[in-house]
This record gives sequence, structure tokens and C-alpha cells, in this order.
Amino acid sequence: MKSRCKRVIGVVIVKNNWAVQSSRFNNYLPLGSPLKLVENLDRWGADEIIIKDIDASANNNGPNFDLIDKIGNLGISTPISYGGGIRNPVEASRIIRMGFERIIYNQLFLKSDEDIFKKIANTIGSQAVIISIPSIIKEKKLFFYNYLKKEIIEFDEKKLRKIEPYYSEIIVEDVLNDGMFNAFNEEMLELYLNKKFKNKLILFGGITNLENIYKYLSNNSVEGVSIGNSLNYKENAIQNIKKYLIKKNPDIVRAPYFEKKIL
Amino acid sequence: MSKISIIDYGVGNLKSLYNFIKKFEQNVIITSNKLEIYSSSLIILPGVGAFASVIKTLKDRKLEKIITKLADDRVPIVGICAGMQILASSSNEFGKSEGLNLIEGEINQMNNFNIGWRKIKKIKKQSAIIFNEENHFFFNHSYKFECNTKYKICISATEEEVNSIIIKDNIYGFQFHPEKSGIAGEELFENFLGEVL
Repeated sequence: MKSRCKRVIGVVIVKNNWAVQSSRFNNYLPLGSPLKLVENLDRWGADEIIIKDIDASANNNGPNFDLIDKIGNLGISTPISYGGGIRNPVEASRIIRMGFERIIYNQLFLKSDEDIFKKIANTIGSQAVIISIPSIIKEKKLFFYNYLKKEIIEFDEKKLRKIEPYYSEIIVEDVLNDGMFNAFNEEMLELYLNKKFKNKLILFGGITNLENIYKYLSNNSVEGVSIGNSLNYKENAIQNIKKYLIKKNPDIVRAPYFEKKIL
Repeated sequence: MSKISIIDYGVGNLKSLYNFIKKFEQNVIITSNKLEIYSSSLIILPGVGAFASVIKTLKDRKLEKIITKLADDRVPIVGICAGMQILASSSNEFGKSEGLNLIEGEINQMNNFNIGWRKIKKIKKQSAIIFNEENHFFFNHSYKFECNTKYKICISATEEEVNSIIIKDNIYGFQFHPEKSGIAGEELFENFLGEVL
């Protein structure tokens, strides 16, 4: 009775309290209310929803608790994670209390030492912590991308390994293919796989092709694919992705209920 | 009307659970008030948190003894995820800590994180827990509850077997999150509430 479904994750990128379409971490077009998008993803059967508030770290004001509260009040039944401006265990814990299951940090990883990650994990549990890493390949080597400073920096593998007990998954963000069509850089996946991190990967950036989604999810080290822009333009996008995946392998993802009848 | 109390011990996804229970048109509150807790028909210990941190806040708020007393008084108590794990005798999460010891057992680290949607299987057919075994439920943990087989009601398996639902008398533990398991979670919990209230 072994069952280990992989996850098709919907991403809502928020800027100035608006959901936006992002392109290469640089250009943003407004899509509408983030609340509406979250409700849609819940209804469509996303396996998880990620809220990525890109202003929060830039302003250094901490997480956007006003938005977090509004999303928490929606009462959705899909697991939901928040990333944006988290600085300490108190803020992390408050986000969980407000109805989120997991938190995501990126800038905190770049600028903090081991102790803060340990404290966050000791409070909310490392299963509730995800690290997001905007990544770039240069001359066949991985680099981090600091989107706030718009600079490419050294890939700090040592730090990632040191804090391994304090987070559960890594979101690999393909910066140059963010917002592009069918473009996730497979060389990037290979480079991450070669590093053999203990914790599993979630892929993000230019993932639109069904065949590729199936290929990525079939990899034992990949736990999920996260999709942003393309889900918002197509009717039944999540259902269609899952229908395709389930046809290839009935156990690879969870089928949405309303889909079961027609499969 | 029965009153359901979600215990506020400083950590845990309180609002998720509150919104979830409201769907069943129940009288539900989030509280750490002793009088409110004493007058409850069902106690819920919420999930999301590290074991030692949850136990510490329970003790700081002097709620540990009330919960033990209610357990003795046969009030149904249900723990979800981290809330289930604190029902154990002890845990090894980030060092050794003592639990509430309401179901004898130990919390030990798994080989890998167990995060995502899994099927669960009923191994005690006589149990009143009702659900469709084709459904998936959302798990998010890296430590598991190890206990005597007599308490095991449902299991799930990925690389490792996990005790998904355990019961001892009026004490119930759910390792997964029914409140975040879509319609599957709603069906299961509605049946559960029908049994215990």
C-alpha cells in the first residue's frame, strides 16, 4: 500500500498587494486579487499553494500580515505556504497561527547565520520550513541570485548543508526562465541532483510542458513542481496537468475529486 | 450545543482548524482559558510545531494538568500532527522531551520527511473511523509516533510505515492534517465528530 504522491503547486506572486505575473525576477504585470487566485487554486485541486510576497523583504518591514490574515480568513482546505520578509521565529510562528502550514525564506538565508534557522525550526518544526533559492548557471556552475540587489553571488553549499536539519525542502528557482514558456533549465536540475542534498527539491521557473512535468516528478529527488503564470491563463489548467500525469502513472499525483468521474 | 475547544498553546495552525471546524456548524473556540477548556465537549490539540516548543508552552500556560484531568474524565481529546505527537510519553525531536503520556509511545525521527498527500489504510476494521481508502490525506512531518499495535487504527506507507490514526479510549491522534486534506478530510472529520460528540 505504498503511496507517495508528488505535488503540483500553484504559486501566487504578490507585489504591492497585487498578484502579478513575473518574468525573470525583473518585470511584473498585474493579474488581480491574490485572494481570488488563492481561492481558484484551492477549488481547482492544487496540492499546495505558495504565496511569494516580493515586496516584503525589499522594504524590510517583515511579512505582510495584513495579506496573510486575509488569506487565512478564506478558510481554504489546501495546504498553504508563505514567503516574504520573514526575519525570526516569532514572525514564523505568527504566520502558522494565522492559518498557513509552512514558511519559505530566501533573503534570510543569504544574510543570517545558523542560529536563526535552528531557532525557527525549534519553534515551528523543520517540516514547516522551506528554503527558496533563485539560481543561475554560469560556465556550468551554480550561483545564487539576490533579486533585491540584482547580483549573482557564490553558491553557498556549505551553509545549505550546515542548516540541513532545519528545513525540509528546497525550491530551485530558475531565474532566467522565470515567466518563460517551457523553459526550465534541466542542466540546473542536474547540477542540484549531483549535489545529493538530503532534502527534496521543488522546481520553479518556466515549467509548462506536460511531458517535462511528468519527467521531473518521476525523479526521486523532486517532490513537486511549482507553477505560477501559466495556471492563471488557462481554464482547468491544474486538472488537465493532473489528468495527463495520472494517465501516465495513476499514483504520481492526487486526483482532484471532481476529476475522478471522468478519468 | 456541544462546545469544541482548540487549545491555543502559542504555536499551531489555529485559524486553519477553526475555519475547518466551523464548516460543520459547530460551536468552536480557540482558547487557553481554563474554564472554557473545562466546559468543553471535545478538545483539539492543533498541529504544526516542534515537540519541545509545544510542550513548553503548554506547561507555561499551565494547561498540561487540565488536559490530563479531562482525559481522565473521559472527555474526547484529539491531537493533530504535532498535537498527536505530544500525546506520547516522550520525544527525541531536537533532544529528549517528555510528553503528556496519554498514549504510551515514543516519537522518533523518520529517515526522510513525509510531506504530501498519502493514502491511509484501516487496520482495525471495527473502529468507528470512516473514510474512503482511495482518498489522499495531507501529511507534513519528519518524526513519527511509535506505539503498541493495540492503539493503531490506520497506517500509511511511503518509504516507511506511519501510524496515521491511533486511538486509546477517548484519546485520538491524527498524524495527517484533516483540515488541509480537502473534501477527504472533511468527510472523515464529519464522521468522526458524529461519533465522538
